[in-house]
Amino acid sequence: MKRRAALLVAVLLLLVAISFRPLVSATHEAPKGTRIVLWHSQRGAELAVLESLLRRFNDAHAGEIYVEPLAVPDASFKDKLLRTVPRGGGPDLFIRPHNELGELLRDAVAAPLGEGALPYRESEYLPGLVEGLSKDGKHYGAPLTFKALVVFYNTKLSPKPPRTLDDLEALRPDLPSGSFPLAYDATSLFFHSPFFLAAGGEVLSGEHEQFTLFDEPAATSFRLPGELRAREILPPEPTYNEMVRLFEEGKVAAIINGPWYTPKGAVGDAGAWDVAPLFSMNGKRGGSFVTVEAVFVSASSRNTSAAEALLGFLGGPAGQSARRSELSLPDVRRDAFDVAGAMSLAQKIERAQRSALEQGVVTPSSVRMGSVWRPAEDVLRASISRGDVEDALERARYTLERVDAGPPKKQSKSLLGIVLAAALLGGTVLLVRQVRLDVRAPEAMRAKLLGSWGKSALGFLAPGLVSTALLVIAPMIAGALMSLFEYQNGSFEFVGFTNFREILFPPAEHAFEARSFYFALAVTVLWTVLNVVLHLTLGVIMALLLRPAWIRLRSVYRIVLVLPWAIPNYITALMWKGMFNAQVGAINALLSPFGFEGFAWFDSFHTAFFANLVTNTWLGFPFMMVVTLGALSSLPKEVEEAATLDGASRWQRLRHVIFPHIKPALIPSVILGSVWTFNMFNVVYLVSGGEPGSKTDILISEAYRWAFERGQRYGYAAAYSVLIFAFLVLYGRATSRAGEERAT
Amino acid sequence: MTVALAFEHVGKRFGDTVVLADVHFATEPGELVVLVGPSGCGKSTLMRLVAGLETLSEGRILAGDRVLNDVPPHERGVGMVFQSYALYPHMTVAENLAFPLFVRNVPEADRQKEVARVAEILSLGPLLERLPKQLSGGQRQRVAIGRCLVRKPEIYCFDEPLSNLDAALRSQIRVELKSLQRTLSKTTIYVTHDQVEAMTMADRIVVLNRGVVEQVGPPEELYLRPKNRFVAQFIGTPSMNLVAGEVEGGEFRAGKLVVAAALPAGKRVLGLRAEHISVGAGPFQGVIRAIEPVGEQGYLHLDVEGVALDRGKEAPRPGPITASVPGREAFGFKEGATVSFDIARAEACFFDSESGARVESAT
Repeated sequence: MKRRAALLVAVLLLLVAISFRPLVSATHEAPKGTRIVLWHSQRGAELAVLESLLRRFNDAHAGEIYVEPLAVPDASFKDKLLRTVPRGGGPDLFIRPHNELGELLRDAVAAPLGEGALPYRESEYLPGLVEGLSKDGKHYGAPLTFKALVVFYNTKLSPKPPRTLDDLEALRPDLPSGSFPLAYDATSLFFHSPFFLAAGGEVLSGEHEQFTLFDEPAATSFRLPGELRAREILPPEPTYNEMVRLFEEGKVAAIINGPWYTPKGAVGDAGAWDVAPLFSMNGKRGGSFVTVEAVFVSASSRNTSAAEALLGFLGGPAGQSARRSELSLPDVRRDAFDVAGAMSLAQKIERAQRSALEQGVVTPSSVRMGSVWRPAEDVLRASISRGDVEDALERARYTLERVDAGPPKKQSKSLLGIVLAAALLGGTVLLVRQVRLDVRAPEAMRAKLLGSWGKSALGFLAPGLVSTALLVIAPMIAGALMSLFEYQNGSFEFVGFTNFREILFPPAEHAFEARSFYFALAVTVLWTVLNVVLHLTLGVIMALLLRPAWIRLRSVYRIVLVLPWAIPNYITALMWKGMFNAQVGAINALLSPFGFEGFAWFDSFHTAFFANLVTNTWLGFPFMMVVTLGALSSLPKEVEEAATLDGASRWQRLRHVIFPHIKPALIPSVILGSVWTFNMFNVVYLVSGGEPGSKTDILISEAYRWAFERGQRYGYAAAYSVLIFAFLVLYGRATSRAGEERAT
Repeated sequence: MTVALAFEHVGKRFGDTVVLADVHFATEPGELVVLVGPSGCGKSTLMRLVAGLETLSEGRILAGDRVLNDVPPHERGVGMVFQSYALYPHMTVAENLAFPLFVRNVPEADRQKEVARVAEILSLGPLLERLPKQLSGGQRQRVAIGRCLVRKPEIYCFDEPLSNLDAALRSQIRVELKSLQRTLSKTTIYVTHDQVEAMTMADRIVVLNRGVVEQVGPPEELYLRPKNRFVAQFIGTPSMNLVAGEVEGGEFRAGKLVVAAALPAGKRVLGLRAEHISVGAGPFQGVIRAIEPVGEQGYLHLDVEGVALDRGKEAPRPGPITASVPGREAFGFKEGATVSFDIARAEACFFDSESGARVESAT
């Protein structure tokens, strides 16, 4: 028996081993020479070009080097690199955008290039490209191509390419109503970069690389979107998808977009569009933030010379000409472009991008850049919604300060020891006490959990205990511990209770503004109370209205009620977000007789909060309704008839007979519902997304943002979670105690 | 003031289903009227019509000279005790009792006085602060009655009030209810499916069958002079013997059983109560099939040659007739023995075997 089991395991292991080996080596004889692994995330035409390049390379180096490409999904690419390379695994080369360089260097993932490894001399490259891939005088990758912003314009609305912003504004009077001269995603710093740079803005400056993007002169550019909107140059709610839609419907004369974009829709079908370089502003030609795509040598590569040979091939003339001729991607060399006279579309795009690069900057690749986008977006949104830009800038500076927290002050490890020991001791004592209480409780005695029965019971309980410990308890402890640490440069540094102190005792002048704990707590409590009250009221009213038909139509109700529950709530949330859209939303269409046309729901706290509230009420009241219906169906008909005979009016029957009857069923639902609502991440994150300026964010979405959107402050976010947990535990205890008091 | 209740050609339909048809009778003021019949006969519906929980399809219901048809339930002066008692589960006994006054905004002091009065009558004093779930079945019922008393209705309705009690308690409460009703002397409608209960409590019994009133009358009339085969069989324990036979030339014949009967010729059914058959001597012979000694009485089941029983629902089939003997004597009989018996001819009833209606003797 045992032998058979062992055989089975062996066969299984073999199967797993075979299926996980690269197919190439299983089917073909392994090529001779040094093996080089290249990770990339290219698809479609790009992949075809890459593969043909690699074939040429392999043929040229037959017997010496051969390249094995491996496609890695874009979303997990960076994480895979960060996990494998420092441990000596991973590829020899990889292709990534330059802006990840900061993180790659922090974790020592990319290796500096050897002397002469760059395929061209540094001076031959377009300005900024090599610098974007360099740190402290060392080069870390060969530029393959770059991406910069260009202008697509509607040739019907603007027969000539717009050369200046004034050109565009001059179009204004001749455009039909509902059309606008310019469109771009004005909520994103990336698309805003032409205006930012035209104003003379710099993201980081000075010796210590301080953030200056919210200071003058850059600050001026943040006021611009609001002015453009006021002058009706820019449409309301200028988000990416919305702008693309308007352009493709022919309602916008020009759109700022990337080279990846090809107009579709009516304008695309008609071919009524063309490409131009960014227009001039303040007498300066337009430039933009630029992303450089590059090939890097991995720090774990053991065949650096072979890897650098491939790097030279991909980044050198062979790669450049293939990418340019087959993919129309811009060349990285200064004098690669000399076209006179009529240009093809691809040439126009390349020229526009070169111009944007020449006038613009390669985006800084510092790790700290991750902190910039959200605060900038908040300021831009404040500007678009004609809010107080100065105030928004001040807040953004403060936010950046918090997000870009300097290196943590280390705490002595002995404090960690004390905290851990105390927590461990306290937890163990509590657990042991509870277990002892439970084991000796009457229920346990009845179930014979004591004595010899107890031992066999433990065996049955084990799978549940183990999985609960692994999946619930362990992450909880890990999360709680993380709140005592600060994440910095890829490692966790113990900081004691600093996170809690920062959260609970912020500077007084910022204690009650958006993104502060107390503000979020107040919003969360308001959110929870309003939701539960609405769910309860609506649910009970609906139940009472539907009750007479309950018996007959029970099956219909079940289907109708279960369907919305069967739809994941994030889909419902997205549907509501769509309905609250300013331009195409159903809500504004319905309310248009009352002047709601184009009303931006997410521009002010009250309306954004209201939108969240409506969505969550829609999601939440059926639960209360079903609970109420269930409770109502257990109310004997005779009791109500007795009340009728006793002379109770309809309201008196409701108040004194029906309501006391359903109340015991509703109390646990209210507790459950309030906990769910308190942590209702999906609706808040998806519907308002915290707009405006994180004001509608609740505690749980704030915690998320601190971890993933504001400078990876994992410890800070974990401290938020611990506080949420503590708050809910206290709430739960209070309500259950209140329930017990009522019962006695 | 005590009012009488009158039903005038009352009918009730639910859709196409006729639940009650042409119910027409009146009570005396202060009477205890028992509505009795098999389940589904419409007796509860008739009571709910009185209480106003259902609406009439036809006819009128009058309390005294007041037409109740369109009067809202709580203005009818009708109090009802439900089969399940229908106490308000979250209210104490005192609150339950006070509820009818509470919803009328009667002042607190008056409410307490009234609750105390009713608690006194029903000896609920020690229970006033308890919740219904802390009471026994009998206590709950007293509370339900109390809640009714508080309203001081003119007419009381009891819907199978004893069916949720155990047998011992049942006979006790039966007596209490009856004496309470005598004290109150209010017209009372009492629904039951138990004919013993009906017989013991009623001033007047209304026998209902499939929505039709079969007979209205005092218990002894129903017992001794049932109007038809259904009532004869439904009222009385054990059921009346119903022997299928034929009348010809002034004699009723059923096998060996021959009884003088001054009736028109035709197929008839002879109805005989068990106590009207005397065992020991007589012209007839029967074989004892079974003996049931039940205490002060005993019943013998006698097979008589050629005798078939006709219960009206199906074709007559051979079966034993039931005779009663004094309790102690019952032990003296042996199963399988042949005994002689006689019948009290004067007490015999005859029914038409087709219609089931009673056929009066010409003499």
